Amino acid sequence: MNRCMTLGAVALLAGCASTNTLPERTLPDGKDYLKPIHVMVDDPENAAQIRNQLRETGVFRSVESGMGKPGDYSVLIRSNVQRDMPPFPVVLLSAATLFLLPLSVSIDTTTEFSLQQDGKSLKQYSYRNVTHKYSWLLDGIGGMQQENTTRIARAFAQDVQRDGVLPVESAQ
Amino acid sequence: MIRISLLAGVLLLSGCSTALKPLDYKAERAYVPMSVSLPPPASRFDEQKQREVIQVLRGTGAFSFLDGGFSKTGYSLRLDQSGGKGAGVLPAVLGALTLLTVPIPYTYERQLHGTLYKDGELLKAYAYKRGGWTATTWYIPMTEPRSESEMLGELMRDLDHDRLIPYQ
Repeated sequence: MNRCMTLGAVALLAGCASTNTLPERTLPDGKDYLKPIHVMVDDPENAAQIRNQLRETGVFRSVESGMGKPGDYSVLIRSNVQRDMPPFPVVLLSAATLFLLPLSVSIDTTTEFSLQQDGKSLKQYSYRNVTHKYSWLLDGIGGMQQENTTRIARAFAQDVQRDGVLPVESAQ
Repeated sequence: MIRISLLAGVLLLSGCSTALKPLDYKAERAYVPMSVSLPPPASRFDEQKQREVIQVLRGTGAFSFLDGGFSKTGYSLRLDQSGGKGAGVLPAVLGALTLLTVPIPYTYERQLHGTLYKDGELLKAYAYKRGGWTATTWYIPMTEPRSESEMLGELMRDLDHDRLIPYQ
């Protein structure tokens, strides 16, 4: 009996975990900030969230909105987000069971970053992350979108830091 | 007979749509990258409406790159659709009690305020207003979304006419 309950609990808890195709990137501590960047996102609804995620990486001195003045570094971001839900009858069936029947949900995001200075492209980066999760009554899909784009923002920050395209701002 | 019924059904249902119609304005050239800001949504309904506004603005082809929020550098457009008045309590309650089968007439007013900034400085403010009569039934097409589309189209035409935003 105990074994069954343990197995059931493990299955339920393991089922709650979401999976991502883009590996989690670790950003090293103690490094100098990179120069400030001006970030424009071709998605008015999620622009603020993406800028905040870049700020949270702690890699850039500051992340501003807008195009920036001459000499400033800017990043233009374009995203393509595809959400995949099960067929509508399955959603209805899950609703009929008060969401005890898990639903397979996925978010497929492809994001392109263009690092520029004075309108001249310095380097392009492209990332794709597919986040998948089984959602049910006690575990909704809230936070999936954020998890999906946070990985992309961290991957971009790490690659920019590694490539050295953006100068380091020496400590004052 | 079946074909006529289907056609009538589609016409009736599409008449009930509350979604914004595509604007009667098509841009010949796109503006330089700029940002647009809308007031914080108060409900999921507001969020949906703002998504529709962004969608129809993009549909005009006037924006090469549309960022969100207000920017101190470059061009920013602030849109505000607050103000005006809708059905009010009495027509809404009567409409609900009659399951939207009895046409209860009411007047409405819709407003749109557009404010254009360059580097954080005000360039020009635009204001539009539309109003009229309509009724709370499911079989009379709603006129409010059409009014909102008309005002957005007029704003886009005025922006094009004033040439305050450079083209790409």
